[in-house]
Amino acid sequence: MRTSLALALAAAAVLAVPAQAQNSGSINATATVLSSINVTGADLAFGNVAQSQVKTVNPNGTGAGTFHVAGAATTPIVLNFSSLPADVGDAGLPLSAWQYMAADVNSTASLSSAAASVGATFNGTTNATGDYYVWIGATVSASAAVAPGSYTSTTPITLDVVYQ
Amino acid sequence: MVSPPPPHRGPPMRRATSLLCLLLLYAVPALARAQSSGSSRVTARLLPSISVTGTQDLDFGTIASTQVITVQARNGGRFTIQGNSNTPVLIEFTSLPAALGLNLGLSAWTGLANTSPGNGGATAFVPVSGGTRSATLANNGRYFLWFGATLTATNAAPGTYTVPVIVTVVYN
Repeated sequence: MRTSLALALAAAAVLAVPAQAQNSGSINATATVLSSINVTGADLAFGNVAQSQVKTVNPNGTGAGTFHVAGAATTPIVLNFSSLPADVGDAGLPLSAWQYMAADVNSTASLSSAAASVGATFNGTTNATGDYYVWIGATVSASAAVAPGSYTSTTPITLDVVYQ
Repeated sequence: MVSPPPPHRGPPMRRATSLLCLLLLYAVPALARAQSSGSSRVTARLLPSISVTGTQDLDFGTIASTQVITVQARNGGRFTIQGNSNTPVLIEFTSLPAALGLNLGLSAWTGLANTSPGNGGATAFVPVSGGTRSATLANNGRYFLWFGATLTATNAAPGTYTVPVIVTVVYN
């Protein structure tokens, strides 16, 4: 009887140690999912360009490229151009001096432009109907040797948008 | 001439009993010497309890219904472990969930571990749900973990999603 009691006490002591030495903690992985963001674009069109001509299309000028962002209403977003073409489909038509404007109203009035570069992010907030607008321009410098014809960049202008 | 009678030796049965007694007298001590006893004790070193506290959620923020977003461990969820100083522990990644919800996959878990609260000099590791990692608590009994992961939303329904990330620690 005494032996049994001693064994029981010993077993109880051994079993108690892991229970006191162990502990768990938790955090939460969280995310808020909103409606998809749709981005639609219209081309940046330089129109007619002569050989040896340098022509600039400003973001608020005729021919500027435009993007319409449609997402959740009144929500912060982060935007960046993930690709900008180096030329208009020919090395003799290089592109430079990229500029953009952005707003939650569909107007460039009173907007100022900023330099656009691949991967550089900028922030915005969609308006009450979930819309946001971006305009982009650049400068093309046609060489004297470029052959007359119609050209289109092989690399697109790509605007990426995510919720902030 | 008459020979003296032979010494009295008793009946044969009595002689046999005497011999057996003599044998037992020698044999019992011999048996006693051949047996040894051993003993052991049940021992345990009782240490202060370990506390594991989640001090920062792994927050993916706001995402679109179809989007992939990665939160680095250095910016992710954080646990603080408090126990006995300079003591080895076994950390179990009890639950690193595979999903945050329907069409919201969690993958590519990453981890950082350090004995100090900052993760600047922390050691990177790849945690696996149900897996373990050995560590030694710092002089002050503390240890810190950070977790990151990639969330892949594929046409997920809008809403707010939450799922627990659980870590268990035992003395090693």
